[in-house]
Amino acid sequence: MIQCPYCPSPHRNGICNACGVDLRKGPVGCKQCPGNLKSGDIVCLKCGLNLLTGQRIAPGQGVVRERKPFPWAAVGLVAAVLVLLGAAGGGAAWLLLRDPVAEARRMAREGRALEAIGKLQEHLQAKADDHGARHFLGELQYQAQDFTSAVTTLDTVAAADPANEQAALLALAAAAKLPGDAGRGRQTAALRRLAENQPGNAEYRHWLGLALAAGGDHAGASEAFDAALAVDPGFRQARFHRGVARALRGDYDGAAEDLLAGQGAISETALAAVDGLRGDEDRAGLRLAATAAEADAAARRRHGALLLARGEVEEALGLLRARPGETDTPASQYLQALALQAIGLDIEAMQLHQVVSESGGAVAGAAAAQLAELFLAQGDLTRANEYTRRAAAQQRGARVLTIEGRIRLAEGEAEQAGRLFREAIALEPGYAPAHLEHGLYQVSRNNLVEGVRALEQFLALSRADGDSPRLNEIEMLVSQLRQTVGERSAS
Amino acid sequence: MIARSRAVLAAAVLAATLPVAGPAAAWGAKAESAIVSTALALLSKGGAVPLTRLEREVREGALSADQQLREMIPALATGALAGIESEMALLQAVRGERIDPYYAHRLGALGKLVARATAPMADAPTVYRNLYYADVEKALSGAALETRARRAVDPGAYLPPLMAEAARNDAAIEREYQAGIGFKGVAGTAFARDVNRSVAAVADVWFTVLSGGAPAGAVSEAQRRDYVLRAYRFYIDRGNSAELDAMAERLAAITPHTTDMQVRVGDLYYEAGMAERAIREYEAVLAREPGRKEVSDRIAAYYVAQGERAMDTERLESARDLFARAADANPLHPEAERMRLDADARIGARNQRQEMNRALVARAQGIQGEAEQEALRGRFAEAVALLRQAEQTYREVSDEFPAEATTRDRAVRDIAFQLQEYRGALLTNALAFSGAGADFDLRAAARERGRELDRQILEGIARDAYAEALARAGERARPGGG
Repeated sequence: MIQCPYCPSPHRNGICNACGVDLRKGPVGCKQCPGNLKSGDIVCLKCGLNLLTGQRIAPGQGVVRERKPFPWAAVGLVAAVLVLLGAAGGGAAWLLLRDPVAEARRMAREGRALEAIGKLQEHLQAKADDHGARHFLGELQYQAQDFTSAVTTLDTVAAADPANEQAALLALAAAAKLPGDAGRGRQTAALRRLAENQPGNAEYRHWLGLALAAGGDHAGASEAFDAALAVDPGFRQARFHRGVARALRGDYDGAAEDLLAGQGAISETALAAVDGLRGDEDRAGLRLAATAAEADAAARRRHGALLLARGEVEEALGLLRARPGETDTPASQYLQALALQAIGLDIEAMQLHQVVSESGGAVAGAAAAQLAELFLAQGDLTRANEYTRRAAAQQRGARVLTIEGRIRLAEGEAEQAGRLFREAIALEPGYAPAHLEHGLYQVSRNNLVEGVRALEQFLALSRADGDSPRLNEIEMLVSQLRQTVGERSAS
Repeated sequence: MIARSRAVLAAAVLAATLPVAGPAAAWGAKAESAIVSTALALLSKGGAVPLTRLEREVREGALSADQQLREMIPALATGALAGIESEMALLQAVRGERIDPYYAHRLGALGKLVARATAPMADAPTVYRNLYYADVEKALSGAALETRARRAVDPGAYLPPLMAEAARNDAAIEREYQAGIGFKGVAGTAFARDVNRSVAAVADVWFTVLSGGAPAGAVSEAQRRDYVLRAYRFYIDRGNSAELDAMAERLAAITPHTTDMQVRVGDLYYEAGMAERAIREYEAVLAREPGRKEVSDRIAAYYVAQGERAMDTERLESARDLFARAADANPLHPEAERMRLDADARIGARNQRQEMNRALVARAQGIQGEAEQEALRGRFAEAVALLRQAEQTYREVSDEFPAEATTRDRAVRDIAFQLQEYRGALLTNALAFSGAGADFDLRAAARERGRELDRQILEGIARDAYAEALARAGERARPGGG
């Protein structure tokens, strides 16, 4: 990843998405003079060219001037006039020229913001501790949408002058305009500054917590929320969001306690999410059902996933489908495909699984595994193999190994199938389908005792996971097998 | 003109009567019967009246006991002749176009009276009379029969001379028996004449009655009714239903049946076990006289008894109808309505049980059908489970209802065969369960994605709140503040 020399944004293809500079053209220099530019510059300090507007705001060094014959008469005349006028306007001009900040303000008022910025930058080079001028510079940079510079400038002000809350807030606002991780980092820094500068302000700590949580730093977020609550223990929002952060850290009990501070459907949805994360799906289902009318897409999909796991497939499908104005995610499409598969709409399920498997997302491998099973059920071993390979490319877990074993069995490679089933069980002993396939394989090889043992293991694992109509059949099979084993032993 | 001849017929008839036993009186039972039978043969041979077909009834009538005769012919109380005249008048009055069996029976009884009236030794001391009659019975087979043309007679004028003639030798016979001569004397000599006299008297009396030549005596309604009722009893005792129907019509022509007569006829039927006929009679009575409580009581009692029998044999609908009819006949019957309600309740309960049994059979059949479908799809484990369920359901069907119980037994046998077959198929198709772990995968995937969604929900909450915070910060930090 390359850092754009004009702005702090990263880019991939040579053209900066943030500032539009084409970096493929080589080292960056001023278009009108040989001067080099630094990251974030918008004015060439050498020639005064505003890189954004194309205007030259001050003559730079090395500007080429035309050589003409010296007009002595005119000079004399002008000098005389100047001498006359100098006495009159000199005082006023002196007043103006001796306060560059005031001049910059005048320029800004006249709409010459970039000139004003240049003026202020020049001024600050000479007088770096003029915080007012710097704050003003930051504002001008913000207005000129030079948010990167604005953040730097305003943060400098806020650091130097902790009482200047506005500078810190504007630094945050500018950082909020910056994209990507760098932008979030600047936002977090701005918020830290605000929180440090305003120790009695709980809200800024709350915001800092939210920034950290949004960035995935849930531990940091929790600390920030703690700090907000230390300032204002009755701050319900901070408590609620601390609950969110705690849940995302895995502290479900603490989360559930904090989330009660929330109000309305969002609180119930968050509590349902916590219930779901700690495996209490029944309770999660009750909460989601209670708030179904106000549920957003995520909550609705969660409810759908829950019903799907329970076997309430048709209702689940209704919840998983995107509503007008919503966009399907690969994960929601994958769940929809599972629901379609469960109700026997294999063709529709395969279409969706294919879309998901080609999305390259986190569920692409799982969708490929489903497709492999569907093709296997149809007897299309070629495509079953193809999708198994795709699934294995993501993760060759117990499930993929089991599917591979089934394919090998269908191909007549029984020994290899048996090896794959054993491998799947060794890899993930709790994966019930591997035991089933292993058991059936053993029964087909007339190894009834081992077959029964594996099938019993499958039944135990499956029963613990939930009921299924086919379990009764397999139980029946096991019962018959036991009877046969007993008869053989007796004879 | 009197033609005398020895007739083989007479010997045969007389011989045929010998096994018939009865109490001794006048001629003695055997002799009386023989005389009556011989008279019958004579009368039939002469072609005057075709009575041969009814010979049995005539002979049975001749064997009527004295008590029966006295009940049948109350006029006998005033003398044999009065009795004979009364009976002749009655029989002449009630005769229809054809001679029916009871009429023949009464003719036999009349013949007995006539034979007895014209018998010798009727007034002799019992000892000698019995000795005489015993000897007569021994000599009967050898008696010669005289035949002559029949004539209508007036019993009042005809019989007394014959009775006197019959008694003419009584004293001599008595003396000879006292002297030990017995039947070898006058008795034996006069025997054939005496017998022929009685036979002729019987035949003439019958002829008179059957030809309508008897003097028209006063036959009361009471006599007719009594005749009719006795006729009913006679026919009821014979137990021939078709004959009863035919004779009921004939008897109705003799005298209009009063309700009392109908009640009596009903009683006769009832006593003879012909309850349905009895009830028809009783109902006819009620139709004519609805207020006859004793009749409605009898009807109700009958239906209640019938209803109870029906209840005992679980013929509940019949029982209910019978109790209802009992209650209709006698609304005040103390049990009929309660029993009807009881029967109704039992019908309801039984129907409910039957419906339940039918529903069980239907359910079991449905499950069995599902099992067969599963087997066709190769899902033998499910098929076995369903068959067991079906068997269990069939076994809940009770034995109470034969049709359902039969269906159950047949189905249970079928299921036993199917179970054996499916169990075998289950083992050979074990690999068909491959992929049955898909539910496990589906649940696992849904849970895994669900947990991801849980995280996304929480992250979304934090993200949205932060976006809101930034918006608020932007609003507060308006440039120009520096």
